[in-house]
Amino acid sequence: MEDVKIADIFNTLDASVLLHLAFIVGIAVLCIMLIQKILPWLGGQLHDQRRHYVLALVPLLRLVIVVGAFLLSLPLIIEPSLQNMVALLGTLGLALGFALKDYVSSLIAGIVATAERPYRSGDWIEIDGVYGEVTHVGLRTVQIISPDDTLYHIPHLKIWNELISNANNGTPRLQTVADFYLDSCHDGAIARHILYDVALSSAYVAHREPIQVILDEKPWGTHYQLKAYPVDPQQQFRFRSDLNIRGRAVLVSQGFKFASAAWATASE
Amino acid sequence: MPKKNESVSKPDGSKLHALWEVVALDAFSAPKSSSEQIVRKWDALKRLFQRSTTVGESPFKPESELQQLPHEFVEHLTGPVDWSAPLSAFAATINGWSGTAGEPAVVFMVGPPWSGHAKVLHAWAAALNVPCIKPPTTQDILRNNLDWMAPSPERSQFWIMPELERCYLRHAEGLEMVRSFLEQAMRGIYGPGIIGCDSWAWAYLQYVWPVPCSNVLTLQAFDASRLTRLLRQLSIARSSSRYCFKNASNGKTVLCSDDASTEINATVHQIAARCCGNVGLALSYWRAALRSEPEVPDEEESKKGADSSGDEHIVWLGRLPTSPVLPDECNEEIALLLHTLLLHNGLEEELLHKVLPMPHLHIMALLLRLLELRIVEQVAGRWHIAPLAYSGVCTYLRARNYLLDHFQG
Repeated sequence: MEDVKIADIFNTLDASVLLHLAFIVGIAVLCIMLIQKILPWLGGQLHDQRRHYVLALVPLLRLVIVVGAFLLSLPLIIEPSLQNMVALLGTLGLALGFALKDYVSSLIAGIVATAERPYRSGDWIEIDGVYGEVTHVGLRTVQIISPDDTLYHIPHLKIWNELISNANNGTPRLQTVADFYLDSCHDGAIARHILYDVALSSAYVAHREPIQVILDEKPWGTHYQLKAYPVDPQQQFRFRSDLNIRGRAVLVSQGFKFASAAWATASE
Repeated sequence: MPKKNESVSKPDGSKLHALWEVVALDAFSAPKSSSEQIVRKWDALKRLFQRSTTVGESPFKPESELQQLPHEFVEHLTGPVDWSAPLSAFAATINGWSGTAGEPAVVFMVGPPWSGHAKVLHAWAAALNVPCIKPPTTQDILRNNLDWMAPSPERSQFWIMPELERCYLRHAEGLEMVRSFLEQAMRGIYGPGIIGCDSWAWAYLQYVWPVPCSNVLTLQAFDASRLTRLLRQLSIARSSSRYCFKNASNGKTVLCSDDASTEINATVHQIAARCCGNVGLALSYWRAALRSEPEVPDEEESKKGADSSGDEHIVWLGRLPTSPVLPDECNEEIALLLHTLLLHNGLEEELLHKVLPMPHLHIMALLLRLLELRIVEQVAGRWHIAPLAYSGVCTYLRARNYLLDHFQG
């Protein structure tokens, strides 16, 4: 009896309806493919804030297309009355709840991620200890490419209960920190001034952003953190290397001594 | 402190601005043209889909039926600008300033590359016979040695330094000396002085040692009206012949050397807007666009023709050159290199590896490639951005969020 009722909510799927459905699905898939090709390419040609805006449009437009295709298809498959919808969704929910719980959870998390935007394409994020640039925000997963060129597919469901850190949050501002460990016997003010100039004279530095030098006294010496922003977040590792190379060179030339590793190990 | 220069009345009663005007930096107003802005946006859009150029695709293509004028004839038609001409405007602007009694000890004169601010200051130093301070050596800069700028025996003696951009190096040890110099100069240790600075270096130095902006002057932008008058002056300066410059695409007269009309041609508007009122750049575009018909005699005959008094000569104006397209590959390294050249207003090759995170040979490979594309040029041992590539380079750097000068808006 129940089987008959469930079957009754579906329309007759004749050839014209199937053709209509295939047409809607085909157009939706084509649009999604085009968006996923064109917008990332266009984003790659742009820089600054515009790049982030264009890349962030991809998941949003895809969601709009999927929802649109679903709404157009639904009246072709069932009679969209309240009674029919409740019956269909109840049945689907029961089936999916047991069999595809995580998959559906990721899909729903993907929709939430599109709205809340904890990460967007072009952002530098860390999830589960994996740090890298978001290259694609899919329906179920987010793709991250790490600095060592490894591609990670991370399901969206991580946003429910994992710590997600986003270093630039949809902007081109990404702070880079270079560490220097100096022996305690030195003039901290001079060292700080030198390190400030190291950042200010870097070819990569974003001049409109602040430069900070933070000191932290340790039993083995002084830990300096030189904090500055590169012009483009993608330059962060080259920027840090540049700060380290030039900072080390100028500190050595000015007679500063670096903390000994043996000292640091023994102290800790 | 800056005072407005006087303007001249046109025959119809309206005011005509003086050819040279010195204004406060914030009062600089670049000429704008809506068609030029559309062209720029279209060029930017085209660049999205354009691949890198090769030499064969260079934008400097000759007009199909016209030929480029010989270099000497171009010089003859648009001879050197008299940089002492703006001195009266400058003197009027700082009239009454003595650098003493609570007044700022120094006045800054800032201008974009090729705008001529340094040449004006050189001319002024020569005209007034005051000390023109030469820039320090690289060793002085890196060792923070201020001995090159000894205090003047008489603190009231006026001095001029035309090129502040030569007093620093974007290097961890290359900034301290310019800070010390600016601090002492602004305290009046060296007496009253005028310091010229390139606009890109000025933008960078604001982060090195922020300078109060109350006493910063610049040459007012050359709008189409000023540019027309200057081009007329230059074309009659060396010859008694009458020259008519005509647009090759429509045959309309752009300007004639002895024409007193105040009407401004659209082509001149376009040049002024494209160059943001930069007079040196505008002249470069003008010179690059000059053409002659093939039957026009060679260089010698051209010179003879130019000298023949009472003759009228037609010089054609081809399409304005477009900025070369920068290569796609090595994108970041090229941006770093071009930005560095602008911040220093050109650098010697032995200094480039000190200020760039690249090895010397790699820098040279990039420079030679850019030289081939006519994006950079080497003048007196220093590598510079080529004038006709300047606007393209600015657009390239703006799109990548690099620090720009005040004149880029």
